[in-house]
Amino acid sequence: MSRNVQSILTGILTGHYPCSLSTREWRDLILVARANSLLPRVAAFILNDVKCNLQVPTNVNAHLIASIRHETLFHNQVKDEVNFVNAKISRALNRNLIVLKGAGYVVASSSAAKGRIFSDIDLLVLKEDVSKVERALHLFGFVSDTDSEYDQKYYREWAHEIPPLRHLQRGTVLDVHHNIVPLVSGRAPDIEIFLKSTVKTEYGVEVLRPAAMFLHSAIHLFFSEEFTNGYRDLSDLSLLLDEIIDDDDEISYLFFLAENTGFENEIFLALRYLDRIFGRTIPQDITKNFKQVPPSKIRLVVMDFIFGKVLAANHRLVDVKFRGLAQWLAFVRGHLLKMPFNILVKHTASKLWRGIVKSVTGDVENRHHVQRKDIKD
Amino acid sequence: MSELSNAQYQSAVKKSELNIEFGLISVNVNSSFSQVTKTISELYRDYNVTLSSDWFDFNVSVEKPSNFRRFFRSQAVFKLDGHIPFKPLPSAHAYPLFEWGMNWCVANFYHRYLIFHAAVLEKNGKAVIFPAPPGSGKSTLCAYLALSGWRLLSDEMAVLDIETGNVLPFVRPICLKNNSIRLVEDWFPEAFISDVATDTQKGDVAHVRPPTDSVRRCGEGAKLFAIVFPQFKAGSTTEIFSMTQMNTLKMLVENAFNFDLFGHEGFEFISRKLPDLLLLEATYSNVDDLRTVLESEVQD
Repeated sequence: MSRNVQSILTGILTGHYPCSLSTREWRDLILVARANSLLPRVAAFILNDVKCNLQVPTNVNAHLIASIRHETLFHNQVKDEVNFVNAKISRALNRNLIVLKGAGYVVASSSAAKGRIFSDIDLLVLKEDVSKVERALHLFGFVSDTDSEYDQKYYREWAHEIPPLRHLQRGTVLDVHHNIVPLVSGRAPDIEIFLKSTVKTEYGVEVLRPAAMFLHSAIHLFFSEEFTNGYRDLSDLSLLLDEIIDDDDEISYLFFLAENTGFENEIFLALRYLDRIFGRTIPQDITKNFKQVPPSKIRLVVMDFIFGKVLAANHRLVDVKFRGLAQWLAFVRGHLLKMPFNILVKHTASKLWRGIVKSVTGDVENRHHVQRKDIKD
Repeated sequence: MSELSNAQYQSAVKKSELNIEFGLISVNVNSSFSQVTKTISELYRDYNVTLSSDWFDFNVSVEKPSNFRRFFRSQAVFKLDGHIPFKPLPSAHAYPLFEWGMNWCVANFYHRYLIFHAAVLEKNGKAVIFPAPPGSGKSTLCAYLALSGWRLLSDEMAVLDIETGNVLPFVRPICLKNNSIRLVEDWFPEAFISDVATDTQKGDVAHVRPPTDSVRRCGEGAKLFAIVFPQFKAGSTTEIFSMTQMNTLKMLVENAFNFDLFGHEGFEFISRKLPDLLLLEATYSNVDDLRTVLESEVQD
C-alpha cells in the first residue's frame, strides 16, 4: 500500500515523521523534494531533528548528505556576499541595509533558512538611495544582466526594484528593491512602515522582524504569477509561522501591519492554504484578529481551485487534476494584480514575441555540460 | 545487459524500467532516439541491469524537444527526472549528450564523495589518478592503459571516499576525441568503439566500451597509490618529474568538482593523504613509453 508522496513530504516538513518508508517511497520523496527545491530542507529535518527516528538507507543518505553539503556552502557564500555588499555600500546609504527573503532568512538565522536555496539576494533600500547604491555596486563589479530596452523601461517605470545586478566574477545576483510590490500595481504600501519593522542581525544588516517577514513572504507568494516553487514557498510560510505563533506581540503586530498596508487578504490566503495543504491548524486566537470581511463563497471556490492546485508539490508523481488550468488562471491573476490591464497587454505582447522567437530558433548557444550550478532556485 | 533479448531490452527502455547498475549509483535510462538506445546496448553490454526496481539514484533520458525544432534541424534534449537542465544539442549529438548529462548529474548532485575531474586506473591493487584539463591526452592515455591490462575505474571522475581513503570506481565508456579515435582504433582493432558524433563542441567524439573485467569489478574500490598529471606534447621524449605536495594540491583543486563543498573535511583529507602518495608530472608523446614507466612504478 503506497502512501501519497506529498503527504509524506508535508509530514516531514512539519515535523510529523512517518515510522518508516519503503525503498520506493524514499526514491519518490527524493525526486519530489528535489524537483520542488526542497531536498536540503528535507535532509535537514531528517538528519538534524532529534525527533526524527527514521532509519535512512545508505543510498538515500548519500543524496541527503550531498544536499546538506550544498546548503552549508551556499549559506556561507550568502553570508560572505551580504558582508561584502554591506561593506561596499553602507556609506552610500541613509539607513541600514535591509536583506529580504531567502538571504534575509539566512542572516536572521530564521527557521525558514533551514535548507533554503535561492538564486538572488534581495535588498531593500530607500528610494532616494537607489541610484547611489547602483553606482557603488557597479564600481564593485555588479552589472545589469539585461540590456534590453524594454526590460530597463519596465523596471524603471513600473517595478519596485531595479534590473538585477550580476557580479562579473562570482555570478551572484542582487535584486535592489525600494518597495515590496510593483508601484504600477497600485498596491505598493508606504514603505516607511516596513522600514520601521526591522531588527538588526549579527551581520550589521537588518532584516524584517518575524511578523513582517511572514507578511512579506505571504505577499510575495500571493502576488506571484508563477508557482513553480509554490509548495516550497508555502513551506517557508509554515516555518515563518513557527517563529511567531507563540508570540502574542508578533501576532498582533502581524495584523496591525497587514491592516495598515492593505495586505490582510494575503494573510488570509496564507493561513488558509497552510491549513489546507500543510495541515497547519490555525488557532482561533489568531484568526479572530481579522478585521476584513471574509471573501464571498464564490470567490473562495475560485481561490481554492487555483491555489489548492498551484501550491501542491509540482511533480508528475503528485497527481493534480486541472493543474494546467489553475496555473493559467494564477498566471492571469498574478499579472492583473501587478499591473493595470492596458500595461498588461503591452507587457504580454512583448514577452510573447520573445517566446515565439525562442521556440522557433531553439537555443543552441551557451551549452553547459560538466558544470555545477551552485545557485539554483 | 547482454542476457536481455533485444525485444526485452527495447520494451524495458521504452517503459522506463531499465536501470543500469554502476556500483556507485543506479541510473534509470530512457531515450526516444534509436541511435541512443542502440549505442547504450552496445557500450553497456557487460553491465548489470535491473528491471523495474524500486530504487534508482537518477532517472535520465535523451528526447526530442517539444517545440518546432522537432521538424527541422532536429535537436536532442537531456532530461533529469523530466526536467531539462541545459540547452538542447543537434540530434546527431544525442549519444554524447546522454553521457555528458550523466556526468553532470553526478558532478552536480552526488556530493557524498569528493570528486575530481580525472581518469583513474589500477594495477596490482594500486590506483593511479590522472587529473588533467581537456587537451592533455588524458582520455587517450586512459583508453590505452585500460585496453592494455590496467583496470579502468573511471575516465572522467576520481571518486574519493574520505572515510576509507579509497578511490571508488565509476566505470563508464571512455570518451575519445578527434585524432585519438583513429589512434585507439589502430592500436586496439578488437576494441569496440561507438559511432562517431562529428562537430560537437569537443570536436568529433566516440566512446569506447570499457573492458569486461573492469565492469565486473565496478563495486570494488582501490587503494590510492599515485597522482600523475599527464601532458601530451607531440615529438617530446617521455619525461617524469616529481611534484611537490603544494603544486599537486593546487592542480587538484583546479580539477575539482566539489572540493569547496567539503570545506575543512576535504582539505584535511587531501593534506593527510598527499604525503603517502607518489606525485608525478609526465610529459610524453609515446603513450607506450609512459605505460612502461607507470608499470615499473606500480610493480609489487
